[in-house]
Amino acid sequence: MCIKEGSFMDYKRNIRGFMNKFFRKSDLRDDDDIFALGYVNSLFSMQLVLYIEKEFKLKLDNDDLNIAYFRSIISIDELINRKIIQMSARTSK
Amino acid sequence: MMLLSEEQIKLKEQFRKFVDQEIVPKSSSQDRNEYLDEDMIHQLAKEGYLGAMIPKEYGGLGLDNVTIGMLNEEIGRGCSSVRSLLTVHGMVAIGIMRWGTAQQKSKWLPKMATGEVIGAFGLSEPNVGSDANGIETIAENNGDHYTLCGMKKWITMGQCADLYMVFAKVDGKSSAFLVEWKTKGFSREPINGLLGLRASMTGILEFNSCKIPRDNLIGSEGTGISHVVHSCLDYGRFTVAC
Repeated sequence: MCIKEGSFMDYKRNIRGFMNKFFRKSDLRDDDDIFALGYVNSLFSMQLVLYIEKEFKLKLDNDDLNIAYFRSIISIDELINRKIIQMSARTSK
Repeated sequence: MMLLSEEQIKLKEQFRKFVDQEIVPKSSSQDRNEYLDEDMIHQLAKEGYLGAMIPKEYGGLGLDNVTIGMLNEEIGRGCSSVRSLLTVHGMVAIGIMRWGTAQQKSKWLPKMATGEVIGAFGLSEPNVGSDANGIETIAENNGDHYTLCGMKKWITMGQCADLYMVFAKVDGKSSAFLVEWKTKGFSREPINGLLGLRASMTGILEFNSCKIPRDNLIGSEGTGISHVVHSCLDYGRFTVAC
């Protein structure tokens, strides 16, 4: 996928597409807490990390390891955008 | 069909020669004596094999996964107990590399690459086996440190490692900690008479109110099983399967 560096973009549709492979819940809302809904098994969290890294060409590290960042489609979208901005700032230095 | 590179073929020959010379002759006595020869660990370290999975920037060999597979395949051919050392040591290194802070990486990885520090993985427990979500070991958050209480069982290299990656629950949330052998209140004992992998130094670990610095938390509270353990177990499964 094409990512415009440094800009804030909406990746919620992409994230939802990934989620749907696991949850089969078509009415998943952007702010639904995926952990509270009980759809997440023990393997899903790492699969989500790997998806974000591969799809958006990012590297998640220790500072990103906060369950709150992965709680909903909105929070994941915010994490991705935050990381892209960080990466862009680093490369432009 | 995947073809090996010239470098991989060369390394495979090197692994084979090392195993035939250093491991195979000692394999039987190690198994009978239920003890991993310390000279062999030094030899592994000298060859750099304890740092096979660690990037070159930290003093490791930085081998690719195919070559790591060949290394474990060859070493396992000679003695699966020695292979199990590489597996659990590597699991701890992988956990630190994947989710450790810059400080944790620079503190531990160079020492693990040279074998100055041997790692072991503390997940399974007497009452829960390897049911990661059911662990009963607890760590109480006391601000600048955690207080660790509990027991681990069936820990490969549990008798002799220097650094353990231990999983415990903090307020019900699974978390991963680095625990040094020298920690006060930490004791260990051997498990003898096993049917297989008899030289893998399997042991029981006991943590009696061990004070663990906050800086030894890997990842964050609540991500021990969801993130840290899976990164490590992937490596563990892969190298055991070789």
